[in-house]
Amino acid sequence: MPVDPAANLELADLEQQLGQWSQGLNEAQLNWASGYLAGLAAARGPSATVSGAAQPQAGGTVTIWYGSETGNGRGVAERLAREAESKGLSVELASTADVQPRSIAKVGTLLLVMSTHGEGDPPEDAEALHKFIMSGRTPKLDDLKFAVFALGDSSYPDFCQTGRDFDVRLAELGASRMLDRVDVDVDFESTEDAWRERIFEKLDEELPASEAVPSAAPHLQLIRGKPAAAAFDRRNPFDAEVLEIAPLTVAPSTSPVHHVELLLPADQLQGSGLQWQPGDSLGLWPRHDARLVDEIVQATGIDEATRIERGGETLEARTWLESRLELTQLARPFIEAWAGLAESQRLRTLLDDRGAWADWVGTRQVIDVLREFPAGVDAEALIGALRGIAPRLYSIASSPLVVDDEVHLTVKRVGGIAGDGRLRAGVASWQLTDSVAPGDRVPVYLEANPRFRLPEDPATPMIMIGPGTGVAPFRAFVQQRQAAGAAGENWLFFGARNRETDFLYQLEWQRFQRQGALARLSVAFSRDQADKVYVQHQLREQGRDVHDWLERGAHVYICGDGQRMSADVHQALIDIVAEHGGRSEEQSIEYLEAMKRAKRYQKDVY
Amino acid sequence: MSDLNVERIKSDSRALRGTLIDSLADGTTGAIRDADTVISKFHGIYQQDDRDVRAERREARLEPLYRFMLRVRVPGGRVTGAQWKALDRLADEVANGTLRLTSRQAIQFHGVAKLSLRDLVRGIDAVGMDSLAACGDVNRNVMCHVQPELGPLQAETLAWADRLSAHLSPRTGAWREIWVDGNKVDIEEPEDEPVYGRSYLPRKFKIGIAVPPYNDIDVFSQDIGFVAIERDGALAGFDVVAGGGMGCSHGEPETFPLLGRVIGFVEPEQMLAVAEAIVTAQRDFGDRENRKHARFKYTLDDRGTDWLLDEIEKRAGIRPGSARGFEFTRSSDRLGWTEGVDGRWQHTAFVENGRLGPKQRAGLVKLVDTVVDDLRLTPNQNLVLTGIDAADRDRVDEILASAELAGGERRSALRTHSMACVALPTCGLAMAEAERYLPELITWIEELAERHGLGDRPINIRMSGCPNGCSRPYLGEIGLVGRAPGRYNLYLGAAPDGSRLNRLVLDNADEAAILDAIDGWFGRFAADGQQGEAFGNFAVRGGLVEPVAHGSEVNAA
Ligand code: SRM
Ligand SMILES: Cc1cc2nc3c(=O)[nH]c(=O)nc-3n(C[C@H](O)[C@H](O)[C@H](O)COP(=O)(O)OP(=O)(O)OC[C@H]3O[C@@H](n4cnc5c(N)ncnc54)[C@H](O)[C@@H]3O)c2cc1C
Ligand SMILES: Cc1cc2nc3c(=O)[nH]c(=O)nc-3n(C[C@H](O)[C@H](O)[C@H](O)COP(=O)(O)O)c2cc1C
Ligand code: SF4
Repeated sequence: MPVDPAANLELADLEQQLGQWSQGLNEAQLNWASGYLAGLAAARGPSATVSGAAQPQAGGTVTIWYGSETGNGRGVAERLAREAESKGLSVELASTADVQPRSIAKVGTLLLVMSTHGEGDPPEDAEALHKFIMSGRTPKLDDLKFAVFALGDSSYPDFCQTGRDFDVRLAELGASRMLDRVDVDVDFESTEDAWRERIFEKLDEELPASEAVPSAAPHLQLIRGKPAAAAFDRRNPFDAEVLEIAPLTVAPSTSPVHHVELLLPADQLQGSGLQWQPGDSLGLWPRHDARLVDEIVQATGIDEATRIERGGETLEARTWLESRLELTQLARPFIEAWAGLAESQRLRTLLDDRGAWADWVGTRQVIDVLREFPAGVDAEALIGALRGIAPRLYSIASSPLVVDDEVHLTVKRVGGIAGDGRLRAGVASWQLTDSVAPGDRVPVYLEANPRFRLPEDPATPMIMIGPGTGVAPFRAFVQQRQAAGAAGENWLFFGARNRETDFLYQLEWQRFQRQGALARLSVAFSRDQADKVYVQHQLREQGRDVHDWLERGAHVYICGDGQRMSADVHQALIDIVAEHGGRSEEQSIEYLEAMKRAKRYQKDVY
Repeated sequence: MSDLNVERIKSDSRALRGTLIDSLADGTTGAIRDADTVISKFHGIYQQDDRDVRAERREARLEPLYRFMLRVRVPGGRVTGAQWKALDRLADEVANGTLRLTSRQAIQFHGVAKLSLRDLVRGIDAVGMDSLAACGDVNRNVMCHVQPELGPLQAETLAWADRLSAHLSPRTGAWREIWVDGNKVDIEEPEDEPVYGRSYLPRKFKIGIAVPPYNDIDVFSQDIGFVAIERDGALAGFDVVAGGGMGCSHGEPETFPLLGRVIGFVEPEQMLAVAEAIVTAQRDFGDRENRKHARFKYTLDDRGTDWLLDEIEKRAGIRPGSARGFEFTRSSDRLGWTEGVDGRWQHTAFVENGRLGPKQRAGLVKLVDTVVDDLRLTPNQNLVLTGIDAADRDRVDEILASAELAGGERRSALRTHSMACVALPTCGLAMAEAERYLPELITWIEELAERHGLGDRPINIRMSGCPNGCSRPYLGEIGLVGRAPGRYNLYLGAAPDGSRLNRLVLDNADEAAILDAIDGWFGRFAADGQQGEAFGNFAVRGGLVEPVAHGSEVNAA
């Protein structure tokens, strides 16, 4: 399916039509239909889609990675890189702390300088790569040529263990060894020079200087959409494997956020409607925690085995509760139904009390209502009263140019275990940050967002305002621009409660800054000082420069949790445009409206 | 650090200003810029991070938990009651709730956040203390024997320690400018540094003054050591010891500890000029290419005593006369009560590894509020409370006991003669635990001593978390130097008066291996040791270890 903004704009209406048309079709019929449509799409011919499917690296490029704790290995790697460059080779030198483990699949020639620490353990900066390489999830590396220079201290039992690990494992994964590994002791200078010479002899054979081209960032490449067996979408989600879940915050953070990685193998998904680009979101069909379902079954005393028909489908009551019905959010229809079943005047009045409603439902879930307003119901009545569950959306936090078969999410946990030990959490965020484990599968689909796109012109500067989980899409933006070698300057405004516990992806932003992919980083941490500071304050503080950027044609993006934030930021922008551009309030508002029309001012606020 | 060009950073620093003001203003990180971490040391401020939480934070893609260590410069280790109370308050307000007495008679704060640094510096400045040149490639805190019952001689040497410290202090105004006033001053011409010049010294430099028979400052481990020579009750001058140092690196035989050598005698009035001559000689001849060969001990070892004497003569117009000679009895402190010539008393309290937690701090503040106004830090990380009337002794004992700071007589001689460096979790160079582990290891060693009937024998045990040797481990009768978590190099046989280095006997040993070795030695010592013979001396006489003739043999096991 084309991921072409224009086309996507129509998707919404299209979906509506299909929705009506498909009423009453069962799952099998729907699957057939989607396959049929996908086939049609393919038959009608090629469609352009952006993809960063792993491309082997330019032949003349030598990649030098090092794992080093006390600097010896770094030194070796840097000397090696310098000489390589002086020999006209194009070199990519990086600490293993700064590389995406999976990107090894894209490396052509790898010279790995690796020390050993602890008791035969990798140096801290190589932990992630080591873990990845030793894990079962490593891709085959048949196209990789490599050589390992292992630093160690022979007085340790596990001499050069980490270097050995890599050397052995890379070979196992199909990579070819250019030179046998050298294990060096703490007095390694002489060995080092000898090794360097041997390496360059080898490289001369392997890649003739003529071929040596300056290292190019992966190119955007047009490939033809293949006809898909079945298109994956909201109705027909793809069961994605969970690769990793890691906290992005540390104690004593008051709002835990996790980084979640899902596997969406590009080859399986070509033309399946699951190509995405930065700005898109991923939809997840959540599953309730068994504890909550148990609590509901007990509270109502229903027989969970009863088979119940609903919308042409018959399932056991428990199944309905676990994955088909909304149990956390309180919807009006449910309160209405329950007010009747429980014959509760309080619930009825609540329904009419606009003011109280929001607060009331905002701190309660279905189970709380069942407890507070008991009603003698059977499974039939309960299932009938509840609302069908809706998928939750998460901004995609990774660029397909960097990890083409993974989707990264940045998930903030809503609620949690309440004071009384009961589970009162958001279903999806709890599932993604607590319940699922690597290897599990979760049903997902792509939610394209053509209204939240990188500037077409790679040279256009952009200002990204993303407090909290609002940074998620900007991680994808910056990754993408860096991978594509885009020249435009990037400026990120991030905000959270405390710098030391809640600075999402701090190390990555700092790396982007070092590498020039992030020109400016402005932060506001509300609880680090007496008076609360938010992104809009930072914006105002930097008002002059912000205005300069706007005048230079910068795009502005706002993403995050909370209408309030985006309203405050919008007001701040109005004031900035007025103050520093000598415009009236009206002119400033129009200035921003014009930016919106020109797609230079985009929001993704939830 | 290894990738930083320290010499360039120093000379470009505009008299130690660097870009610290900007580093402090950067809200995106708890750290300061790499180059500024070099400069901040000259201000007595080290960037560190809590290594206990490094891995967890890296997982979470968060930068390390950056915290700073500030070292207060305390020439001769003297602190007034008012100053003590200020330091104590700051420990809670801006640091991690502890105070750390160092092996050079200074005081350290740990766990200070970047944004709290100015408050801390202003706090010590308010009571007339500073941290300038407490670290960095300059002359460090000048050490001096502290136990004043020696009377006039002691008072005089202390006065000279002050003069020396002042004379060799950098002239830059950067410290006050950045930390106290806190505003960017665009100085057209940075201050002159008459002694140091634009690039300061190639490496840190250390001076100490000893008063025989006590070698508590380990005079042979100093770049320059002055040994007070007495003539009928008055200070005749100093024998000069030059070129000592501890630091070395694992697996790098060209680095090693060295004992200073006696190069002659100078009169008190000549002291400053001679010290300056040696410092400037090191400034001009020290190795500025290789920081691991840049300490004065190597400069002197490479060039020899005559070279130094010539340089001193050239620069100071003085040629030190022949040494008068001196005798040391010990390098450890005499704990508990001693009476001063003035009839007043002092109490030397054992502070385990120099760390004062809330409990100890509370007791000391109580003492300062009531009876004590004059405190002295010892080179063995202990604390001397002086000027106490006989009448107040019981009161002091009581409070010290309740603060778990009771005198040495209530601890095993082994423990009170032991010393460990800071190491984990704050020290960025630590390879193994030291301060947090030695107390536990000592408990095992105490058991061995008991078993062999050596319970009351004092033995200097010194542990460092890495070969830099901050607890002067190569001068321990038993020395332990961190190799990797849970693993140490074990050294044996230094002289208890600090006049002989020890030697590596066990490489990369774990606890079991260490205790096993010590068990064996104690067995031999119990059997063949002579009346009053020190363990370190027995180890050599009894053939447990070959004495080293030159520091380069210490690690050549
Ligand atoms: C606090 C103290 C140890 C203690 O437990 O008391 C200490 C602590 C540190 N020393 Fe030291 N040294 C301390 C006395 C010593 C001594 C003993 C002495 O001076 O009498 C030595 C051996 C003598 C010598 O200098 O040779 C010593 C030799 C070193 C070295 C090795 C120098 C060398 O020549 O190789 C380093 C590392 C360096 O300078 O590169 C070092 C570096 C350090 C640092 C600052 C680590 C760093 O550079 O990042 C340590 C801070 C740890 C922390 O978290 O507090 N420290 N350091 C002592 C503070 C003294 C003071 O008040 O100024
Ligand atoms: C386009 C888009 C992009 C998004 N991107 C992201 C993203 O990148 N990262 C991200 O984290 N989220 C993102 N969201 C929000 C996300 O979709 C979910 O809304 C969010 O994770 C909460 O869903 P949930 O199922 O966990 O919570 P729900 O099950 O919806 O629970 C929320 C409900 O639980 C109740 N509740 C909340 N807290 C408590 C409590 N403490 N005690 C009792 N009850 C409580 C309230 O009734 C609330 O309505 C995005 C949303 C959109 C629309
Ligand atoms: C704490 C520590 C633990 C070490 N453990 C090992 C080990 O288990 N095996 C080994 O071969 N070398 C070990 N070494 C030695 C280092 O690998 C060696 O010093 C190497 O040169 C360090 O290179 P780097 O500075 O690039 O990390 C250890 C070093 C340190 C400091
Ligand atoms: S000896 Fe090493 S570990 Fe101990 S404080 Fe000094 S530098 Fe740190």
